[in-house]
Amino acid sequence: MSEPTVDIDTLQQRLARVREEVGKRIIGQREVLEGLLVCILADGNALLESNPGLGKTTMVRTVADVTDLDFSRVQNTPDLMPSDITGTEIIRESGGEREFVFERGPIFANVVLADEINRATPKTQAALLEAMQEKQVTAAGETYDLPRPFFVLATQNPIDQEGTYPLPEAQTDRFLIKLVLDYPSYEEERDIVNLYTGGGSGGAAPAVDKVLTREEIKQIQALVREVPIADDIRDRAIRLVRATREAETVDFGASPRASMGLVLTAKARAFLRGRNHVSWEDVEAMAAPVLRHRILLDFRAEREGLSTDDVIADLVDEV
Amino acid sequence: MSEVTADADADDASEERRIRRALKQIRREGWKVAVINAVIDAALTTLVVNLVATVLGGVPSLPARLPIPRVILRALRETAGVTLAEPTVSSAAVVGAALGCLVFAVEVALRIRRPLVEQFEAANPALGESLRTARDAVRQDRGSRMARRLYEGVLADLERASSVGLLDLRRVAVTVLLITAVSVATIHLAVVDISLAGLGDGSETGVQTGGTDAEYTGLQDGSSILGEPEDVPEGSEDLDATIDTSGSGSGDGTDAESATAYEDSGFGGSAAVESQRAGFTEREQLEDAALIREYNLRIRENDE
Repeated sequence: MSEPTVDIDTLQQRLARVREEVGKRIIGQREVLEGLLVCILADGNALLESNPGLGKTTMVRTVADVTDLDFSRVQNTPDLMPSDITGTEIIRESGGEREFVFERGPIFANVVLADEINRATPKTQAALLEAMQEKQVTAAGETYDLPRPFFVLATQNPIDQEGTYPLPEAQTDRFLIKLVLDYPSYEEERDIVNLYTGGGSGGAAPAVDKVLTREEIKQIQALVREVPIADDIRDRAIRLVRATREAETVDFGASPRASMGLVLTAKARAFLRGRNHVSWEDVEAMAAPVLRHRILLDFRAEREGLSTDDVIADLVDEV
Repeated sequence: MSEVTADADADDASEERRIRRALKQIRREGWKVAVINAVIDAALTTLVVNLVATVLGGVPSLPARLPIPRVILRALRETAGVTLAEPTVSSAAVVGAALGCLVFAVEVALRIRRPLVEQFEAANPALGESLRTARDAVRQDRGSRMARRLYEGVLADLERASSVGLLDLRRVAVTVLLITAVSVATIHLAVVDISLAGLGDGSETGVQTGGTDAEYTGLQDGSSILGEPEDVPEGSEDLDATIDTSGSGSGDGTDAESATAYEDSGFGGSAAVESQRAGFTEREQLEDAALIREYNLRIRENDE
């Protein structure tokens, strides 16, 4: 039995409350938090690149806490097997009889943090990404649906690449967005230190309220797809993605999946910001997160010292 | 449950209808603005062309005045009861009006070439994206909850928006000022001679002097030939002249008798009449003496 339909205004207010609640534990990183929420509302998965110790686990766990979602974490290592993630069949004795039962892996959660995904072997990566894409797991001929909403946040460490298995382009394309977590400013870092080393909390993370149910998230996900977008903005977004395939500085451009992702995330951002329609500003804001992991720069761009974000910003200005 | 769905559908249809109505109204406002701009530009064109053609002495290859079609005259007589004394119209005015009509048609066509709703969006940038999105959503018959919510928002915004932004008020004001200036110049030209207006020699233009045109042989306006009454300059030489008062002017008696009778009547002066400096008119006015003479002759003929 589904919950009664909640008013759109109420849902948008609750999303604003989610941000407030997460803000109790996470200082700064507003753009990354917004990207994370956009990804959840768009029913996608995110790739997060950050150095260690920047609070990505805390952020994802907090989002799960305030949204009443199950949370699990997978620490990827080279010896991790696909079944360690998806689950495996085990023999269980009950009443003197033995039977095979499927023991669900950590992927059966609403929010899955796959830490350092590039340390897992390609086979394990493929199993994780396939489950992420299909929203289901197949084991011993049986198919098991993953819980909904389902959201994977996979992290990559940009340093210490020795012994890693970088995700191939075809795999990174499955992530809706790629977020880059940077170091906080001095003031933010001071606030973080004060928050987690003060005597009041005893070092524990501050308490947060659950303000959004999983049913409400599902409703929002359905509403996000209904957010109207003007034809010209949609066409411009498509032109932007196509421009990545024609730009001189780009060796490998983005796929049509990127066009869909760009429009969908723009809709989610518009909803998150309490608007009823997509603005070009939404597309601009989501262009880098949606495209940065889907394009490969040409040697000319690297020679000129251009980053992927620089090239995307130029393309946004051009279209 | 079905009642709730039916209500939602009805609301949805109502919102869509209202958006369609609003879009229709925006298009109507766009038409109004296009027509307003075109009308003032056409009026200015008409006046300017008329003025220029008049100053240049008419439209080349056209007579100074063109006959008004009988159909129009009859229509005027029958509908308005107006009978024109002179069933002709200035060719300058006709050409001006024709060019004005052309400007009107071209400007309206150019102004409505760009979709009127887009023009409204450009004039109200804050409303642009949402209105454009709503327009596209209505066209695609989107009746989702989010679309309905968008329609509500857009309708509320439209109540606060104005189509005045479509009208370039500064441009309209400048054009109206120009129309006023050209109108004043036209009136000035019609009332005052071109030579007096400093625009040229009236005797050369013919039309401006009201009748020296070689083609025109009818009666002409005397005051337009002689010009406005004016103080004539005094002469520079004093001449003494004595006029003897002789004769009564009755015509029956001799000169001596008449003179005596006049003196006796008390009307005669006891002294010589004091002379005054003779006045004269300007040369160009005197040149029209032949025409004045012709006038007098014709008046006499009419009297006889």
